[in-house]
Amino acid sequence: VTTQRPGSGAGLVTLVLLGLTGCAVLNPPPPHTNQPTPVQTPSPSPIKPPADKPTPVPAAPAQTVPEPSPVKPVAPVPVQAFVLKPPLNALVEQANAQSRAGQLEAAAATLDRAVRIDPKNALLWIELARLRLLEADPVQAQALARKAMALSRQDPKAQKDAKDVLDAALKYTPP
Amino acid sequence: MNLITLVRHPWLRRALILLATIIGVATLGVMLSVAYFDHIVMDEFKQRLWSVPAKVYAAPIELYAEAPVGIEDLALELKRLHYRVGNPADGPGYYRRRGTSIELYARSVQFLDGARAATRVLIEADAEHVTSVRSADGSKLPIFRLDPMLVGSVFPAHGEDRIVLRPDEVPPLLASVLKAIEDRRFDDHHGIDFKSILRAMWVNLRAHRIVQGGSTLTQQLVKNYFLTEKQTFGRKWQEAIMAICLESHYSKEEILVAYINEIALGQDGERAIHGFGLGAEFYFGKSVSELEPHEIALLVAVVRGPSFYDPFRHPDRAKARRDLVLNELLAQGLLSAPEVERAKAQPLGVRSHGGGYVPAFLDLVRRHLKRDYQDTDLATEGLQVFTTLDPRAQQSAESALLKNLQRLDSTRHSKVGLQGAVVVADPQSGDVLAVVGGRDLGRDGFNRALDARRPIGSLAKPAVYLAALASGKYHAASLVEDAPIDVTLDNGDVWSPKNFTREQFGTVTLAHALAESMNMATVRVGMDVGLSSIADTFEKLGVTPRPQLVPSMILGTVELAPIDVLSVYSTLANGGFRVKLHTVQGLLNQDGKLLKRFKVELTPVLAPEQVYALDRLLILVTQRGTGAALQTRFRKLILAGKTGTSSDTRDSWFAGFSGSHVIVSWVGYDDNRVTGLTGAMGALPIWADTLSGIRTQSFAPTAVEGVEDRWIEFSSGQLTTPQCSPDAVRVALPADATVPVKDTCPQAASGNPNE
Repeated sequence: VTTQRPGSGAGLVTLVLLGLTGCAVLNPPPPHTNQPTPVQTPSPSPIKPPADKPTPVPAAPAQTVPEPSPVKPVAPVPVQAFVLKPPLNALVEQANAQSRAGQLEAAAATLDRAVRIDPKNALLWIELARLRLLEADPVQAQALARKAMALSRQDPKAQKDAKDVLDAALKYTPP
Repeated sequence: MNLITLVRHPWLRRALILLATIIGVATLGVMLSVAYFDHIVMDEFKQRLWSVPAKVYAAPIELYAEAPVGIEDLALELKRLHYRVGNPADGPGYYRRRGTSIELYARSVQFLDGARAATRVLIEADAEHVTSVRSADGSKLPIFRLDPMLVGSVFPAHGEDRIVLRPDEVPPLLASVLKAIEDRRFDDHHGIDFKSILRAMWVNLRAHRIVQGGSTLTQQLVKNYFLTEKQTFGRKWQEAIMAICLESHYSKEEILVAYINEIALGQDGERAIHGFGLGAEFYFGKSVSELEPHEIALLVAVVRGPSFYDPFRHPDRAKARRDLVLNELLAQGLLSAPEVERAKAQPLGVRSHGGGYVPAFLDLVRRHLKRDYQDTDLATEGLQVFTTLDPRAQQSAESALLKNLQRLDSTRHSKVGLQGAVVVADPQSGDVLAVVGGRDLGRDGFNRALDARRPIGSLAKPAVYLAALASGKYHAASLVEDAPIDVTLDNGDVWSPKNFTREQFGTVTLAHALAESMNMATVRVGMDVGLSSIADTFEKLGVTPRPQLVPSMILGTVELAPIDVLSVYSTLANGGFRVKLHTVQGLLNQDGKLLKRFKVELTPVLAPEQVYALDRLLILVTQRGTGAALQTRFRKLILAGKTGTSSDTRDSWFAGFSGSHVIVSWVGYDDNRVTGLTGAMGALPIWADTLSGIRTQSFAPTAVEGVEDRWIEFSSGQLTTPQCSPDAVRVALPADATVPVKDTCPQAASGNPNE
């Protein structure tokens, strides 16, 4: 978003305020139970205000402003890696074993169980997309890989894995 | 004159020949009729013996650490699955609860993806979640599935529903009580019992009316096959012949088990309750193996006249006959005096009517299966159908609908009751979790959830705003005019839409226009982006046929059934991926072999950044707009949704989603009269009550490339922060959008609101 600044000469003030408020104006959003565990949070790099400037008046201290409670921030925290908790890990391992044994239907049923438990976990959609490729269904493999990509914007590793399955699905030729 | 000379007499000889002919013909006739009846009854018996209707199961509950199943949920679930409190060491089917832990001996069970042997597990749970699952030796189990709950048979032939019992599933007491009451000499006779016929004739003669029947169980079975109440001599003759034929071909056990599976035990709307397996479920919510003596006595009492002794409608009559049966059991020595006293002290114990049977959901299952299976296959082949039904969501939706319709009716002066429908799905997998097709729960009838196609009113607005966002001309902070507008129609008429409240808001943000469901602003936006791009959006959302390009489409003249709306809003809840809604996970044949599995199917249909931006606006509806009651009620949950009211309040809608559930509710009259209810007044409370009975998660859409989350002032659309403006709202703006910053809040010019 580029901003259109009303009035003139506000640039420097904005910059100063930005520095003052940039790091701690808002409380971080409450963690969502369904969100992946953050592994690494990039530290914000505030722009330091010039030392010779006095503290600007408009920077109202947080406690004087009534808490605008109705709006609940919901954006996820940047860079999050998906993990498979034990129940999901057990199901994925079971599906892989079934798939290796050539029981693709059973493997798919097992992965469906996992997806029903944690539908926002990109890793499960990646597994499901891979399995659809084994089942010679590149159209669904693509759709599922795209779903995994949409879910994994904050997880570069999952993003890459999803992209790899998508590429494979796009290049798929029937055996 | 001796006999010979007599026979020589011509007229006498002729008479004798005639007599012999008559006897011959009559004998032949009897033989032919016996052969004919034998053929008919054997055909029928074989068909019934081997015809097993498909069994339908709900989705099983998954137990694992952190699973959203509290200890009370678990206890209730085990009860529903007919597990008994006892010592789990006694065998499968028993469980013991100690505070927050449950020791369970789970029965062997068939799942879609394989069988599980009987297993002992120890489950611990707090009020909200499972905390641990271990096997009997104390080792951790990562995940464990409870048994899938049997919810009915999918395709009752001739409206008859039954749960077929195998011979080894028939409780011995049931068999002996049946014989004691209905046919004491069953084990000895050959189909008909002359002694009891004579006794009945004697009793009836003395009473000058028919008070006693002399029919054996076999005769009753035959009568039940050909369902007719007519007591003609011909009918009796046929019945007797058929009974003797059956007995000559089949063993006593086979006939008794057929009787137990066949006999009519009641009526539930269109559905006839047949057999003791279903009878036990229908009247007591139990499996037949768990029936207690007083319950067996009641079922056997009902056999004599399912409508006359209907325990729901005539409880006193039913109880009197039950106690009569119990007395007879004492007289015949089947139960001891203390047992009979205890049994007679029990109330009838029938459960509330209708509960557990989900005809509206089964209706959808049937329609989904119709593409692949013949009706007769489903009615006779003993298939096992594993569905996506979530009994908890179903129950929550049912009670939410009933409770609210009763409340709303009490404030209305209409002789006719309001009707309604609720549908619930998991937007990610496309699993349909619950379907309520009207307030007559448990009755097959008009399924409003699937068949009531009604104008969707403002539920259409998200499609208009999606088209607006996709056009690149609008974003959440764009300013639009909510002022009167005249649209000239093709026929020359002028259409001048007004707001529902007759107010006009003037210059507003797009976010505000959608949140308050402003008609004039929306029509302006819609006419600007063009009807065909709105129709395109509807099509992408799965609306068929493509809506006609008329301006009133913008305000929702499109007619959809609740299940169609569910599909549309699933796509909105799912980042623009359209999921195929399904009710069936798969089918097994009678031997447990997989016949078919229905997979999760997705199609990307809308740009993720536009859906994300729209979802942010739909969150504002529940926080600041027409759905703000949800904010007050569910403080900790983030929800997105939209109210809908069709012209003159004929239809009241709410459609919306949490992170794990998408729900659509509708309220209206069957004859389409005015309700006086907006979406917020009628459908929204039902939606909210449905959600409150489900363990759900906040809606937390995944951020996507191309849009950024920013705070804007709800009224002016200027960038701000919550510290600067009390009415700051969070929206998603295109990365390249140009938006003014609030004068007094220059710090708002900077990036992500999380920092």
